[in-house]
Formats: sequence, structure tokens, C-alpha cells
Amino acid sequence: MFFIVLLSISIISVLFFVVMFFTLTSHFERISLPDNGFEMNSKAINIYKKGGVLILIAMFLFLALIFI
Amino acid sequence: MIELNKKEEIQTIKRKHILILILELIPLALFGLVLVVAMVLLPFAFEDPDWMSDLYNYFGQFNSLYFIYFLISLLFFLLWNIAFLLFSVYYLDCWIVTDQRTIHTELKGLFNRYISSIYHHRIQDVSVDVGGVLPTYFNFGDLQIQTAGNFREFIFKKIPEPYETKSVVMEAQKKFLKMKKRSKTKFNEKNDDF
Repeated sequence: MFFIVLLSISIISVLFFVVMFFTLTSHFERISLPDNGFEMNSKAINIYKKGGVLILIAMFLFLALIFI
Repeated sequence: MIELNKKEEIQTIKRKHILILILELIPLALFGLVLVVAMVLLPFAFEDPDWMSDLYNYFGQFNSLYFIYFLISLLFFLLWNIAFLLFSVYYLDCWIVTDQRTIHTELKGLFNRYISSIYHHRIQDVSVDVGGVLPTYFNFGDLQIQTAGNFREFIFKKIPEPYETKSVVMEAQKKFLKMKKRSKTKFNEKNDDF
């Protein structure tokens, strides 16, 4: 039961991250200007993606370590 | 994609002053720092587990320390997403002044985006409001454009160098009106073209 609750929280967190990531990526793309008034687009998205993935890896690592 | 008209040139792009974003991120940073300190100090707290006995009784067969680390990482994850959302709102709320019009884009929450534009010939009045200690010291404030038409007011909120931006808008309006007078065909607002 405990394992199922933890797994559910982890899956919901991943889904939340994925939805937010794709939504914000599309916003950045849609607001872009032809002469690139939004140079930060790719940098910002990359930082967000890398940071999010790191935190998710840590989350799943701790999840695994709970049962060791 | 915001599409510019033919021969339309951007004069300036304005966002809120960076200080606004910093002030919004400070509470998140402080909370993140508290979580980091908690993660560092928790192993020492676990050396004397008397106060954690209830947790041990319930999660006896599991490693309670890593369970708390898991919860902390969940909070970090939320903080990270909130921080990036705040940055996105700051970065994607902007005012673009071109030689023909002023465009306002705003991200209201994650799934709500607002874009409006007003041609310079519809501008009736431009005013600046800089009030308070921080805005005066850091030179940021509101720039208000009164217009004719459906969108009565266009407000650039908390932008840096509002007086200079006012000059840019007035100059762009002057040039646009001259161009409109000089052009032989009537300016067709629906087709966005002369």
C-alpha cells in the first residue's frame, strides 16, 4: 500500500513535469519573433529541462533507497 | 509566432524590471535553502531516533531517512517548477514597440496567453508613473498609453527606463503618422499594410 502511494506520487510528479515542460516550450516558441527578440528561449528551456531531470532522478533514487 | 508586417521594424522590447523577478524568487530561494539545510542535518537527527519512533513503528521495514529525503525532493521539484513558471511569466510578458504598432503579450498562468496590438495612429496620450522608493532608485515604473478604440489603455507595467520608452513610443508615432500621410494608398489596417 505504502509502495503504491509512493509510486503514484512519483508518476503524478513526472506527468506534471512533462505537461509543464511541453506547455512552456510551446509558449516560448509561439511568442518568438523572427529577428530573435527572445534569445533566452533555448537556454532557459535547457536549464529547466536539465534541472527537472536531475531532481526527478534524485527523487527516484530516494524512492529506491527507501526499500533497500 | 508573433508575425511582423512587411518592412515593420522593432524599436524596442520591454519587460518588467529584473528586480521584480528577483523579489518574487527570493522566498523560493530561501525555502530551497531551508530544505538543503534540513537534508544536511537530518542524518544527525536520526542518530537519536526517539522522537522518530512513531515513524519507525509505521515504516519499520523501510528506510525512514530516505523517505523524508524523497518528500524533500518532491518539494524541490515543486519549487523548481514554480520558479521556472515565474521566470516564464516575467520573460513572456513583454511590450514590443515597432515603427508601426505596439504589441503586448502576456502569459496569465500556464494555459492562458494574451496578445494585443495597437497601431500608433490610434494613440491619443502617453503618460509615465514612477512612484515609490524602489521605482525611483532603480528607475522603473508604469507607462500608460491611452488609445482610441476597443482597448482604451495599454499599460507597460514596472518597465525599466519608462521615460526613455515614452520617447521611443512618441518618436515611433510621429514617424508612423508622417509615413501614413506620405503614402499614396490609404493605410489598410485589416490587411496590416500600406
